[in-house]
Amino acid sequence: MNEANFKVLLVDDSKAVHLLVEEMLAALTPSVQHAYDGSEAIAAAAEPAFSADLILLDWEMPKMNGIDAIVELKRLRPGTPVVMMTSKNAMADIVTALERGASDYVMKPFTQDILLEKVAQVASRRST
Amino acid sequence: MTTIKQEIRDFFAALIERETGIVYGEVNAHSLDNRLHDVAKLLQFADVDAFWAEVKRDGVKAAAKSLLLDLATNNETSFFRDPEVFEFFQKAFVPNRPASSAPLRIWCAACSTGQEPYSLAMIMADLKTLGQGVPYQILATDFSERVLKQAAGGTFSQLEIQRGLPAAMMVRFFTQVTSSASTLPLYKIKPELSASITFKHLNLLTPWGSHGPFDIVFCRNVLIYQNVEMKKKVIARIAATLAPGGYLVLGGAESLLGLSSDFELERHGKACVYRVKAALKASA
Repeated sequence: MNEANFKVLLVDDSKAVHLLVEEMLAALTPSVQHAYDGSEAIAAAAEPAFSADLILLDWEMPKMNGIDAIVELKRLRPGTPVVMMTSKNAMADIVTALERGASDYVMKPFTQDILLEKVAQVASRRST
Repeated sequence: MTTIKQEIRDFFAALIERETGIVYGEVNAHSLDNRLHDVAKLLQFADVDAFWAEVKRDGVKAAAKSLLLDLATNNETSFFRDPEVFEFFQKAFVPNRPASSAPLRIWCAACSTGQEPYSLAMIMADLKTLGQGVPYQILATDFSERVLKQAAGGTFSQLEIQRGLPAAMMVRFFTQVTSSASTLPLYKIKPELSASITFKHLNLLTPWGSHGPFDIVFCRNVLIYQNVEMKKKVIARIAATLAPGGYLVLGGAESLLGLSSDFELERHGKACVYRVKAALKASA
């Protein structure tokens, strides 16, 4: 993982989560792009200049939720890993997300250690 | 938080070193202070001075001693901690093991809350799925009865389960259970994985009798806290308990340099591991 250029697209409808996660990720990367629902995330991924190395995706959001957006995100950017980041913690939900193409799953609440380890693991699986 | 008097630090540092071999000096005095504050708080003293007053009057009571020694050992851990070690185990150690009908014997010498032995058991299950499985047994030991109890229970909180464990493995190897103490669920290891692991209380610093031979011993981030003489003793005992060609895996910041000539250093990718010398085992 090239930390200097590592870019994350963060998708969550809560501004507080954006602030918190951006601060947590600051130890890894200063480069965080923001989207606030599934349709915004898809619009960002469809841009020719889109260059995120990883997408952090909330499940429950207005307009379009994450579990619906993930299929289109994977179609547009098959090489970009998506990590679900949600308070939905039933095993069946996790299985659904993995089946739809999520590379990993972070359950809220989480700590900075958890988030950074997940991001590093997913990035390392992508580069090997 | 008030500063702790040097007299108190010296007393407890000596007690901890005597019982566990862990050395608290000037470098980690702050860490000792934190642990003393924790012990005083857990035992419901107003502060460390009040705890010290009782110790001077009545000596160190069993509960306080047990708590202090427990807190003095560092139990922070995660699944697949230092991934390169597990990559060595999965891609080099198990596949290259000489053909044998005997089960692979693995010893996690400081298993803490169980993440290390369960990570190894998950790898063995993965290898079995790939048709590369071999029979195996894991002995998981720790100095702390408290963490050992948690390890043997195989149950982890939502925060613990997420440390280092990919979601796909969590779904495959754990079941969710409800907790009366928390609104969040707990995660329990499936019985087919825990069946191959034996948990046992063991203090590495005292003679442990015969429970080898082992094909590989994980003793990570334990010796780092010991003085040189104690490190040498423990390493010599581990060397004696390894099967010919057996491996010792230490923590990422640990080395046998100047401590033992019984091993050869091998590098596998980013992992550095120690293999017991054939001559040593031949003469044993």
